[in-house]
Amino acid sequence: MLSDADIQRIAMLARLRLRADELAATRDKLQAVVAYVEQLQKLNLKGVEPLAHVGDAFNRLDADVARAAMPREQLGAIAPATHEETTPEGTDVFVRIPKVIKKDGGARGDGAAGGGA
Amino acid sequence: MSERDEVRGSEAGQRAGGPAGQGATGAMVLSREAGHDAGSIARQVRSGERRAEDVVKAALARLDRANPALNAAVDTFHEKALLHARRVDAMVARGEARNDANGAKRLPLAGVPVVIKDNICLGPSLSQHVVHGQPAEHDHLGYGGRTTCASGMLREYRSPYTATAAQRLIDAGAIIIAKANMDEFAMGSSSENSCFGATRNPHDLSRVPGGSSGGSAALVAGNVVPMALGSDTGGSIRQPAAFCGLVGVKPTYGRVSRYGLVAYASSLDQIGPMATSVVDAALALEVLCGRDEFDATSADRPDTEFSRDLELPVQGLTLGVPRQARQLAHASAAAAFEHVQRSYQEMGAKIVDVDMPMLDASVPAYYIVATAEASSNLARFDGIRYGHRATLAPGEDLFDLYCKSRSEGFGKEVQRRILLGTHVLSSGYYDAYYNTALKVRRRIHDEFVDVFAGKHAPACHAILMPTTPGPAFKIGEKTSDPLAMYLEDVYTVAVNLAGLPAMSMPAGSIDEGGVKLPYGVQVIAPAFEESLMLRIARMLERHSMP
Repeated sequence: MLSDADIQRIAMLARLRLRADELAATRDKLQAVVAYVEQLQKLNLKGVEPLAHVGDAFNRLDADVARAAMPREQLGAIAPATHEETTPEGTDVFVRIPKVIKKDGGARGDGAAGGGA
Repeated sequence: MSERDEVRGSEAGQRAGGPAGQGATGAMVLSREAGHDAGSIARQVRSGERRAEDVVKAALARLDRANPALNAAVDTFHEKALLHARRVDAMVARGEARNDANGAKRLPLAGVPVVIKDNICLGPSLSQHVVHGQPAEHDHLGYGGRTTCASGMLREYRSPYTATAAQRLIDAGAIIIAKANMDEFAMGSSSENSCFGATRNPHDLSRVPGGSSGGSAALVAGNVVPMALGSDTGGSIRQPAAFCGLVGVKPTYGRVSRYGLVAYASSLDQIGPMATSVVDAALALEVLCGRDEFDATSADRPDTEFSRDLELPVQGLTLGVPRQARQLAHASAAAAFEHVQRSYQEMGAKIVDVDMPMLDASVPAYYIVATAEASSNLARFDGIRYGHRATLAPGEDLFDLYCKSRSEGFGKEVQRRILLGTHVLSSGYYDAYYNTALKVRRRIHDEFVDVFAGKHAPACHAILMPTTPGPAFKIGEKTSDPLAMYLEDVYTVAVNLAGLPAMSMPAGSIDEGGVKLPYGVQVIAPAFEESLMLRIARMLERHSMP
């Protein structure tokens, strides 16, 4: 059975935040689906090779040739927040994000389950 | 409005209900003009008998008339569509629609109005060259607009590039008149999980059109357009085609480029056509398929002339029917499926029972594989480079930005599937869930191969199955129970796990409370045997014609 703590841990790994009032409903719906898919564990699958992708038979490699990527200004145009910097070579566009490194060191959410700093 | 439009119920009432409103009743199936099908339109426009501009104007008028009741279009392209129609007319006038020196057909979809599902990208420029930083040739012709996936996450997202499948339609002379509503990120079987509200079934507005390509299905079934693009990860083309009385083709994995299709589960996703006839579906598939340098999993297969042999019946046809297909609880659905088998027998086909025990495990295996891939694919929506970004409160940091943006942007079902996928991939659970599902996937794949190879019974050309357990259900009937919704996919998901081509085709109608609802059956063929599959479907279509 999935506990509230399990759900919180999974949500942290998935970078989702569940409100306290939706936690129980999410847990119950997820538990129902997990219980349903667990029927697979009763099957005898000894020696069966996992199949992750059916396309492997015709997958191919491209020629190793450098090509231009999508123009930065186009990508900047769809970013939620940007920062422009003008240099003698021209104007460049950057995606703006909140501060990553805190004064006390590390960032949150990395590594240990629990996700709190 | 023509006298023959099947528009029942008060239109004012439908509008008052609003796009997501409950309680709408009646139907919204516009009359079919002569020559409504894609093949006829293209033939007449190519020969100069009919102008693409007139065809498209009429389609736009039908869209404006039907969409308030159906809520099937997310965005419409009134101006761009006419611009493209005039471009096609000009090309025809210049003789550019004539067959080329090798007899190959040019502009095979000249003037055909189409809609595409809103998880297929349309960029601001028509030419894909822009991806490589080269100047685009026809910038003013780019459709642009949003690619929303019916999600709050991408509500304002404008793709910088155009999907290969969409580009191929445009290059073939088709005119895109709208982006179609869908289940958010293609996750759903009813088109109710949309940030734009539920789409309605044209045959009964109180029912779902199926999903996730429900908007595409509704606009074809409502006779707004003859053809649409959907995407099928676990049945999302076939199930809405069945619920709306259409032909819907899920091609072999790799047949159609996935470039520009917003990924749900990359090892299962395929784009495919929805149409009112097998003939039109074959025509569309010819245009769509082929290798694409932008999709490494697209296959290079020469056998793509699906229309050429379409009228040739398959001699000595043997169709396999799995036990599960005979376990339909819905009596009228079972009768409709029986009727289809009898029809094939009347045409001389042999129907044989085939044993495919692993089909019983296909739904749980699918929901593990699909959600695992989804949790990985949808990790890109983090509020940083594109899509919804939440506003941070003082003291909140990058981790909060990820969590808040994703929780605000994604709807409930998408969040549930991300959580399930994260769980089955997480440390300590990977082997028990994900790896087990991949082993089941192998067994399902091998069972199909064995049936086609005749390992245990006579070799079968194809497998015949129902597309769905029953006809379209009521809006709201299954939204509170995800498992009940997942079981709608019991006949469709195995095909995606095995990467095979399959198509749903109309199999008569079922009377539910005095309303006639369409029902569909499915033909499943060996990998890359679309030509065979379409011929088998065409046999039934011809047999069923009055």
